[in-house]
Amino acid sequence: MKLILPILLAALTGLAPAVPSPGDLLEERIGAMLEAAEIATDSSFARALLESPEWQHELLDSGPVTDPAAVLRCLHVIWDDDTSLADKSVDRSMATACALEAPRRDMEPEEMLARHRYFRERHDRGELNRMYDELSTFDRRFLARGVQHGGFNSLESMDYFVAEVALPAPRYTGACWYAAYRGHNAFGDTVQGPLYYKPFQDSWDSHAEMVRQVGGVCGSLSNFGAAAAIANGVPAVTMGEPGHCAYAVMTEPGEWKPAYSLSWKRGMHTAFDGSSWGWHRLVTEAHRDPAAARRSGDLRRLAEHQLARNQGGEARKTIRLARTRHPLDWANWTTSTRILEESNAPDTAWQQLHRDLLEQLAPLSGECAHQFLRSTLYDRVLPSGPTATDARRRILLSFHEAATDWGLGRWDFAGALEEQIRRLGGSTEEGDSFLAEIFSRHSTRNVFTSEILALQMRRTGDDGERLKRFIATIGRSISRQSDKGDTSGVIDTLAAAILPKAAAQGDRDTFQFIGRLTAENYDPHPIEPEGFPGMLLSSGGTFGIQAPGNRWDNPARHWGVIEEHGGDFHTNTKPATATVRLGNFGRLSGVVIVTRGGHVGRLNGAVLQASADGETWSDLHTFQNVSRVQRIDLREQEVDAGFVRVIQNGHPSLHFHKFLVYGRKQN
Amino acid sequence: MAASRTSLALLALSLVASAKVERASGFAEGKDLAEKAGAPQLVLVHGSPWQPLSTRLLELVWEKAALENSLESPAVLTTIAIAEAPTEEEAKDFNERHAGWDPKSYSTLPALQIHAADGTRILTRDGRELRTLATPGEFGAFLNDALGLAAKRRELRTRLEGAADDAEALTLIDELLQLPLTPDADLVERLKQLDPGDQLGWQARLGFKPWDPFLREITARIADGEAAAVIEEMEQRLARDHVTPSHRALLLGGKAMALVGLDRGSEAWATFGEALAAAPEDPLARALHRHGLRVAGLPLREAFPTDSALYGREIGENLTRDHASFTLSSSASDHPEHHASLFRGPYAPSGFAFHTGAEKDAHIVIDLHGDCRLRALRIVNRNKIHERAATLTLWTSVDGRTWERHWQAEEPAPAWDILIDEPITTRFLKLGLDRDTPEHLHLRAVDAYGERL
Repeated sequence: MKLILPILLAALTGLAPAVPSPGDLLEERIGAMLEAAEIATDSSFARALLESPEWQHELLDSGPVTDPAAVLRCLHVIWDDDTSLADKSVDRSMATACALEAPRRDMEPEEMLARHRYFRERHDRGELNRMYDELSTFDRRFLARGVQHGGFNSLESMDYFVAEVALPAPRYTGACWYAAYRGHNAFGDTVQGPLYYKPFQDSWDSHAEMVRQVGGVCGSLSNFGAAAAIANGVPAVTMGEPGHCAYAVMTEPGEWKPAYSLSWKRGMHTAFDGSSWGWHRLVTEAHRDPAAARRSGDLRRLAEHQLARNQGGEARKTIRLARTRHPLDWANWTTSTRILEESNAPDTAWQQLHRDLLEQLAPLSGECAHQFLRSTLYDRVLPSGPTATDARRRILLSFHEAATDWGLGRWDFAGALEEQIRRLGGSTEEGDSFLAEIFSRHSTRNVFTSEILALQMRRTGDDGERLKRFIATIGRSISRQSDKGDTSGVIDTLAAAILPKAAAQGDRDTFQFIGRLTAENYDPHPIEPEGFPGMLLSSGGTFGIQAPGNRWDNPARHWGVIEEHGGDFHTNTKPATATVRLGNFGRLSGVVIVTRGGHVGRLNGAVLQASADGETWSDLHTFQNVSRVQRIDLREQEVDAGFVRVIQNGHPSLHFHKFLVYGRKQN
Repeated sequence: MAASRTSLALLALSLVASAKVERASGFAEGKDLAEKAGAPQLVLVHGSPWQPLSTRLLELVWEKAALENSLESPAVLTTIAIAEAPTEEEAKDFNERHAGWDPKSYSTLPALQIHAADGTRILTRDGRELRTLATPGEFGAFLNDALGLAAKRRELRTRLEGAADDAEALTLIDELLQLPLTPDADLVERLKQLDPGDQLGWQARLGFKPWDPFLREITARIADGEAAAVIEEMEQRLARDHVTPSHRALLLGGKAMALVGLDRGSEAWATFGEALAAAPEDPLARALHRHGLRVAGLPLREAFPTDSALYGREIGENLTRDHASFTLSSSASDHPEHHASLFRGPYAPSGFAFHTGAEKDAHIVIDLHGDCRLRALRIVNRNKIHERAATLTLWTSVDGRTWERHWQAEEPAPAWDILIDEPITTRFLKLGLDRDTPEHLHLRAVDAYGERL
């Protein structure tokens, strides 16, 4: 009624209808949800909800609402258990999060009620991390949902975690190691089969305790780590990586840190609009400021209200405000599409949407921007036909003006390039030229150059001449090479620029891709000491020092240091560190170091260290009376590590040709 | 005069009470104080301010004078606050203040650690165990017990240093190891010298591998063909070593696994049972038994799956395995050489122990060769075409001529577990199809349970 009167008044007077208030629009939406859920608006629950704008915002502006009727029915059940919920902000917010997640998890309201009770009671007893008090409703959705392996979500498991794995939030990234990595149980049954946990299932009071005692592999360990955080009120999520299971933890408000992670290619097991790491970052960033999320929701609701009343122009203006003020809110982009379609918007509106996307979203997330371009905008803004190749080229290149770095997370940039080349059409040469120009545009910041190079190498296949032409073209864009195109120089230049950054960012793929190219430019090192049992864990990883590229150091030779090929580095600051991020997590068996021929004694007093996370280090060995080749046997120390380094506090100079880490893979 | 004497007494008491417990600002200081006082250091490792539970524990219990006053012997109280994101400065201060403390020594917070006056950590209480101590009184009681143990340890160690001879030293080490504290590493070394034959059994107990590497090694040795050697070793250790019930269960379990490796299934299953009996509440004893169920009990049909209605029931002995025979109403596609598998051993590879022709009254008659009191049956259907046994029915008879019907299947199933409410006295069992049209009868296994009369 509140919303109809202004329209009637406008119709009678000829004056423009008043814009409904955000509060009115909230109530309108909630009213529709109550009706869909068949809950009477005069019931106590409905009244409590309708009287609380705060609660309404929590419900509507905390991420997607899947199956609104089911969400409200679940919320009603939880509210019935504690009818003073509306006045207790933490419990109310958690209840709302539980209700929002219930239909996404196919959970019955009673099941979610039990989960809500767990958090409510543990919070009352002070057992949860203090972070829990301040979480937004959106963040609580990760707690409500739990982890991928259902056994860890049981109340018994959560009780176990809250007592036995209560840690500062940042330490949950290492909680996975509370369980041992074991591919077979003690009876010889493989973890890949149904018998691994079978004998132990009733031996302890919870699945969590069983896994801690019995062990597992990456799936169990990652789920253990994430579930431990969740049970203690710290948001976490499991995620799949190629051939591996990892997880991520909110180590401080708004900050998500991957744990036990080997790759940037991640599929989140709790996801909303998209499931990659970049999408996770987008949606969590969008909700980092709940007040902003609410303002965004208010604008969107207004735009939808205007569209429903055939005020297409007003709706387009309003939704434009929403997406330009709140570009991280994906719903503003999808709603923009719907509004433009349903209001039969002119081409200029689509072009405006395109410009807004490039200006607002692409700099933050090239991945999400490209997804929108691919699914929605390119079909609208790219002219078709063989005579429009130049026009298409300009439009496609404009993306690269806007998305100049990884933004919220590394993503399939090469896939986007392939899509663009397909959309460009034209000849192979036009495609190569297009890629070369993209390379040129990105060469200054040097973030995507290796991706572009890798893609072109795949496209050229065995056509060596075509590749050389390409490298010569891009070589001219980054150096003053001759027209013959000295590829080794280009590669070394690329490597010197890219390898240190890749190492600093833990970007194995880039480090390895560019590094392997450099192997052609120098001979393998002749000293080949005996290794240790297991595999070469350092191979496939990254290597870095502080202040790379100092007067004694050539980063283009860093790759070989951790491979059997051999390479070179020279530090020049104190304390000097040489750090390997292993290609695989592992139980270390030994380290082999081959130093440069001169000043071998600089290694004396240095310390060999290992770490699971690259931040907390344990000493393994102190170098003394060193010779050129050092073999350090680590088998008896039973060390599990993801990182190994040498640190020299007494001298600025460390210089090796080989820093090889051996052991047994544990991922 | 009386009043002033009382005041003096109270003053003396308060002086004594306040002198016996000191509070340190950090582990390093606490260690020094503890050493000088010859008193233990009681360390509360807690999460502050990020763990409200820890804050409450500090405010309501640890920092209260009531706790200090409740302690009956000297002690140093120290707190170690584990921050979530310390600055570099805070981390440096932490390392200095708590020098000598092992930051890897806790796995959950809050944690209570008792360090002896010599700095050795002798007791830890954390997790669910710590959370049961909810009041200053309960905390004080636990701490007093711990202080008592620490004092006893100190006394024994002092006497050990002055022990007159090896016999006395061994006696004192035995007493020390019986204290419910973390064993001191040096004692274990001394034991090896003083008790090379391990008469006291401590070396066996303290040197027993953790369960996973222990069983894992046995699995590997069996795979390498060393099953007989494993049995011999387990038997020797069972006879010789003074091990805990849990260790005994592991030794018996290891022996049972090796017996399986040698195809001595019945002995293996019995030994798995002994393992469970040695420590029925031990998680690993239970796990060994469940493993044994799969590798020995079930294949031998000497046990039931855990989801069977007969599992854990008192149903008597197996009446059919060693004493029964049977006849068929007819045969077709039958393999007489598989008939024995109806009652014992692995199932026949064909998927059925017998196969009648298609007839209206397809049945078998089982002769128990003596009167029995029947309590239960487990009937396993053929491995496929379950629906043919949809009308499977049980009759019993004492004379093989007059039959009484007792049970019929409600629907086809892979197996039926039949618990008989009132035991039936019978010698003969007839299992057959009760239908109007011809059908084949074929089953994989029949086990009858009860008592022989």
